[in-house]
Amino acid sequence: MTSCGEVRLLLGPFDDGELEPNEMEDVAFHVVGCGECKAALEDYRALGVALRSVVTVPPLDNFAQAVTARLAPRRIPVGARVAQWWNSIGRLASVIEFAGVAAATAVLTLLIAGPDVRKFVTHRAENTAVSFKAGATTPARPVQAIASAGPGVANTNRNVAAADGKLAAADVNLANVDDQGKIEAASDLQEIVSELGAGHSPSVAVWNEPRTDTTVVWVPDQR
Amino acid sequence: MLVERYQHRVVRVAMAVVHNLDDALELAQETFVRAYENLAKFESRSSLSTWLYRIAANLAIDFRRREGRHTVLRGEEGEIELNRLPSERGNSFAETARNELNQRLNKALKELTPEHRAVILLREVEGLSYDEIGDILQCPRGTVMSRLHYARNRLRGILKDVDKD
Repeated sequence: MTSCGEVRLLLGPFDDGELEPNEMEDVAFHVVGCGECKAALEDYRALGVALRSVVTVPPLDNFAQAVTARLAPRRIPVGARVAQWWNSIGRLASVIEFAGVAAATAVLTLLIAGPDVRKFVTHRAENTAVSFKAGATTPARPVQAIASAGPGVANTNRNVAAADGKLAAADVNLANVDDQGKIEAASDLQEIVSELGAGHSPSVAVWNEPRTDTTVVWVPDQR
Repeated sequence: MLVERYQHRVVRVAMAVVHNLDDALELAQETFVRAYENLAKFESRSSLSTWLYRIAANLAIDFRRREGRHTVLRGEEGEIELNRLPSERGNSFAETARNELNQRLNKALKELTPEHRAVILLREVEGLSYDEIGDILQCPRGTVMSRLHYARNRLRGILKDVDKD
């Protein structure tokens, strides 16, 4: 860009810092080497100074009060504002009241029906053999059904039964496990159940038995 | 208070278009009233100040259109208001020259269209960016640039004449 005509168009934006960086650079280089364009740029700057000195606004006394006076008729009266505030408080109070009633109802329900609910759950736990194989979606099968799965398994379940029926466990599919594995698994299971039954255990225990590919769930005796 | 914070600039924006203090004050008051009424519509895409200036500029442009695009200012009010400069006592050569410059500049400003006058005053006096001016006057950035170029060249001639004299 070397033409003075082109540069003159950009002198104002150049002085205002409104050009792209490459344009700023081009104009700056041109102005340094061109007296006429440099003089035009100085004129623009002088014009800015002159305009700022000419256009002055006198002190705006009472302007804000005049605006306030014009806004006054548009403002909501104090009474209406208080009513709005009271209504909003009322809505909030309704929400709080509803939440309180709901919480109280829940607490009362638990207090009154709690023992029955606990009894129902306990009864269900005693009569249900919770058993499931890892990854399987079949419903739980009773312990009696598991007992008929084979000699090794029957042995295991007898041992479990000896632990006061505390073990509600195992879709124990040992069909593909060798005898040694069955014996070891049954022995370990018995040991674990004995330990759990001894009272050093949590309320519910779940673990995997890798040799039988089984998830075992132990539920304490509720009786 | 919002009014006290922005009153001077709002008045100057209005004055940039209408070039008369009384009209500018009236329009500035109207600006704050409109802003109050439409505060719920304010979107934070632009700053509050830009929003206020846009209201002021729109009101002033509408006012000018109602009054006629090139209506001559009523009497000498415009010049009187624009010449309120701090002056020292006495009538020195420098002060005389400055008064002459002011009178010529005022005359030249009056001869500009409201759009050209608004653009150059918003830039030179208010220091707004081209984008802000475009936002306030609702015109593209290129239009702001071309109007500025035109207005500067017109007023630059006045300055040069004063220097020659």
